[in-house]
Amino acid sequence: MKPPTPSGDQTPGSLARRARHRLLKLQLLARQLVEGFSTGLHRSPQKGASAIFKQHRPYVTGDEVRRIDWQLFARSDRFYIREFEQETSLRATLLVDLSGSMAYAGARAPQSKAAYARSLAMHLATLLIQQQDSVGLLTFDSKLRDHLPPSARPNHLKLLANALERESPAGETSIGSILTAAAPKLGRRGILILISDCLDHSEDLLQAFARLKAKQHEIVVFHILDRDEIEFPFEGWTRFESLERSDEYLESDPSALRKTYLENLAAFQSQLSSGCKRQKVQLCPVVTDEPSESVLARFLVRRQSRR
Amino acid sequence: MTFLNATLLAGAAAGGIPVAIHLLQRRQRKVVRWGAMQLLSQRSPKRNRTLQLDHLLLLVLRTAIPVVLALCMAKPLISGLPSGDDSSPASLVVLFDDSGSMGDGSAGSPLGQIKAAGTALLKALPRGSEISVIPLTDPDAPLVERTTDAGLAAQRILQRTSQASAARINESLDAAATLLTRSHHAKRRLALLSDFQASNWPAALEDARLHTVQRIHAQQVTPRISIFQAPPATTPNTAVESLDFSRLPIGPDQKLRFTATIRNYGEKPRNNVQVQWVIDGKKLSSAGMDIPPKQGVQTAVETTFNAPGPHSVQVSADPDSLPFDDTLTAIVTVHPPIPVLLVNGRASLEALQGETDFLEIALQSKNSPLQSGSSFFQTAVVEPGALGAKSLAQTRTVVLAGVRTLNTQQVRELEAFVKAGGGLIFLPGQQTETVWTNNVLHNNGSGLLPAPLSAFSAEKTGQRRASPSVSKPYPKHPVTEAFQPSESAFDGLNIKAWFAIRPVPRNAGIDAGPAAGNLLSLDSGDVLLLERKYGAGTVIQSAIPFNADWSNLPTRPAFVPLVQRMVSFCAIGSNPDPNTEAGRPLTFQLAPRYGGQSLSVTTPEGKSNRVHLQLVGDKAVGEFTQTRIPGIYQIALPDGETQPYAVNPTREESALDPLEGAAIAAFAKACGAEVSTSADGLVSSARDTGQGREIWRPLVWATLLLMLAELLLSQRFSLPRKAAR
Repeated sequence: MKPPTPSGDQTPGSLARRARHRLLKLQLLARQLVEGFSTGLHRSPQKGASAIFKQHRPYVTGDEVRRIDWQLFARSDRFYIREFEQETSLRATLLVDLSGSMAYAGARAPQSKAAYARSLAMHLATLLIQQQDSVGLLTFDSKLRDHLPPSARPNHLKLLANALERESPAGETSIGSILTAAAPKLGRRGILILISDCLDHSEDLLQAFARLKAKQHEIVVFHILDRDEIEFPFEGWTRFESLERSDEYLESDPSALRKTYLENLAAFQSQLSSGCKRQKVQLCPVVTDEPSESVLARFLVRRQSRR
Repeated sequence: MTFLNATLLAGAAAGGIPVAIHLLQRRQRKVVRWGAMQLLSQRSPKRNRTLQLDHLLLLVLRTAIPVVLALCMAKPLISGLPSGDDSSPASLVVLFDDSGSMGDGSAGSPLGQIKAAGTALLKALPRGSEISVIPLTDPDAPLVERTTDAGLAAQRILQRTSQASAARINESLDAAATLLTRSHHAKRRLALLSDFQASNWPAALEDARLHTVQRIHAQQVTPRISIFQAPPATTPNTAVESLDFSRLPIGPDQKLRFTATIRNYGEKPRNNVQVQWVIDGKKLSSAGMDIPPKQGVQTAVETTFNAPGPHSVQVSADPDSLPFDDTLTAIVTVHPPIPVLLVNGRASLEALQGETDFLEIALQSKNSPLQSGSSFFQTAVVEPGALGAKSLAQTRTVVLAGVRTLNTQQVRELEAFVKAGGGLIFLPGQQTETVWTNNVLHNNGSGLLPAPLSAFSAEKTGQRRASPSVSKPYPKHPVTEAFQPSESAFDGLNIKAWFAIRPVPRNAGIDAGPAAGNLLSLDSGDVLLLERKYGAGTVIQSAIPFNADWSNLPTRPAFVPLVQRMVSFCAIGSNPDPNTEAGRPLTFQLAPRYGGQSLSVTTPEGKSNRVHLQLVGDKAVGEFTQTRIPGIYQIALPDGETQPYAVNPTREESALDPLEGAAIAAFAKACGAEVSTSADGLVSSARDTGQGREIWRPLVWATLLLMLAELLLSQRFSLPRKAAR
């Protein structure tokens, strides 16, 4: 089995020429994907009939004239604007894990977990911004790396793509402490979309979820794993070198480790799943050899059904 | 520290296998950069240094296991420590005297006593002891070798009877030394059980004996030596000491005289000892004899044999407590008349002027030891042109007397005749072509003649020289042995002229063929008679013709016996004496046509054995060594011809006098042993606690502990078991 290489995880400096092309491609893919779904899966504000009235607010300069409620003007002689539920500004923040472990790419995987996480994040951002929701970004490993506050402007997508492309996976994972530390920056209630392999102590992670839930945040977790991490297919004497710590390795016969590893993985997944369920966190397990369209479709269908 | 199985130390090299596997795996391992490290083990991830220490510890353990195991199997012994354990098994080598002097094995006989002592010694051995029993008469064939079955060893000792051969003390000590070095136990013992018969302990071999004893003492693990001396048999022994007769070939109806010596080895005279002669199984005569103490008395018979072939002659005295030496048997081969072809190179009508005239007279003379009463030689005289395959087929010996030349066909047929076992006597003559003789018959040593004819000596110097004399002493040879007692047979011999013949030196750089031997030499430095084997046959070359022109040899009294012996020797050859002593091999030298075939040897017990005949040079050679049992051995050649061999017990065992006490004591002192004369004394003297402590048991435990530690640690370190290959 060929040793996996952390493809696509190089620093932006080394990818100067390819960055623009990849960015454009990422945006294009996200747009195509979202437009494809928006025809049947979303309640779009442009559909009108599906709009649900929420409140009136006073007219301010700059508001579109066609949105003035003329009936109310007739009754009150004042200009009011009708606001619908979808138009309420949704604050979504993409929490993308770029720790060292996200650099893993198995021999059968088309890309690394980090590359997959970037792609998925961009798809989600494109979808949200097309729905005129605000999308922010927070990348991290054992510490915060980059933070873009939520915005619904279309050109915000470019900033998001730049930020994602700029960072390469490195360092240790400490999701629980990072989420706790980043809570003040996340502002008022919104959707927090964590895209990570969650290879951290599950107790810390679940505690962090609990704190964020207490602040009325809705949390969605895309748990990304490589197929190798699920099946552990290695054979022959192997030296496992940590992607997060340079001085950590284990040299052994993988066949002797497989049983314990798979048991540990199952226990971890079970713990994470039950914890998320308990705290009403939506958990989406993702494998990197699965097309991101399917993942996103599954996610959207699931959200749709919850409404 | 020494090792009882030092060769097994080589197994320690297996300690390199884990290291090699480790290095190989390091070279062949794959590297995976992995994210989910915490899922690989439930424990906290190990740091690099810790893992290295783990691996090093496991590697040391895995290397140590085969090393310690090899050490354990090599049975290390710490020499400085006492064994401290009397019940631990020992290695015992018993030298068991089964020579003829040991008697019939009854309780009072020496054999019975050492059987009792030997079995008592075996009974006192701790369980698991390693036992070897070497019979002194045949040290190459131990009764048991390194067996742990004491019952079997005791059974073999009890079943052993006294043998017909003598004790071979030195060879037995050597065999014991070898066995002791291969012993497996730290406690080693050597027990010598013998009657110490003086004839078995020759003073000439004492230094060699003591050297062997020193070699035994110098072994890494010094064995404890015990000696048991059985008192000699008290019964007076009378033996047929010898049976002598002429070894010359005889023909039918010729008288042959047999002389036997009956010896009384006892201190008292023996009267009216009945001595009986049996010829071919039929009693010939019987007479009573009075024999003084410590003396021998001779008795003789004279008989004739009618038919050609082997005949047995047996002389026996009254049986006593040592029956093995009361009988002697001899095989006498009676040959049919020998056809002799005389090739006359110069026929003459005048009396005694031909080259073969004197020869013919000599071979027809009946007034000789070889030819008394009847004709033993059938002579035929032919001219050289008549020599051919037909005439050769009807003769045993050819005499070329003064032959000028022969044609190529004749030479080829003559060579084939001699190679197949025929005899050739070459006599030069006045008309002999020297150049042809040297080129064809000698042919640089590969031809029939052993030596070239050099210059004709009387003419060489151009003047007559004084007659040379025959050199003395005469070489020891069947042809000349009859002349040896007085060595005056050729005195007065006057040789007027002779060819200088000398054997070709072996380093002459040419193919000199088999070595030639002188029968008679001249004081001039030349050889008078030269003999050499050619194939299976014999060639005798003379420097002079047997006529009156060159010398007065034909008129000398020695001429007739000399010619008859030469002819019979060439005709019959030097066949091995069919009479030998027990324990000595029977050797066979046959015509080359038997090469690659095998002959059959039937022992006195009736067992048939095959002996392969190997072609060595121009002879088919074989040897039969299993002649321990005295009696008649029947040899059947591949073509069906049979020949009996008489194997008689050695007479060395007849004299029962033991070695002097001082000599026994000196030997015992050299061995560091005490001489016991009772079984109990032997058992107590052989009991010791050993001179070293074996530590293989703790090493076994150490090996087990190492294996357990390796098992636990490899599991603890999450390393797979198969990494321990």
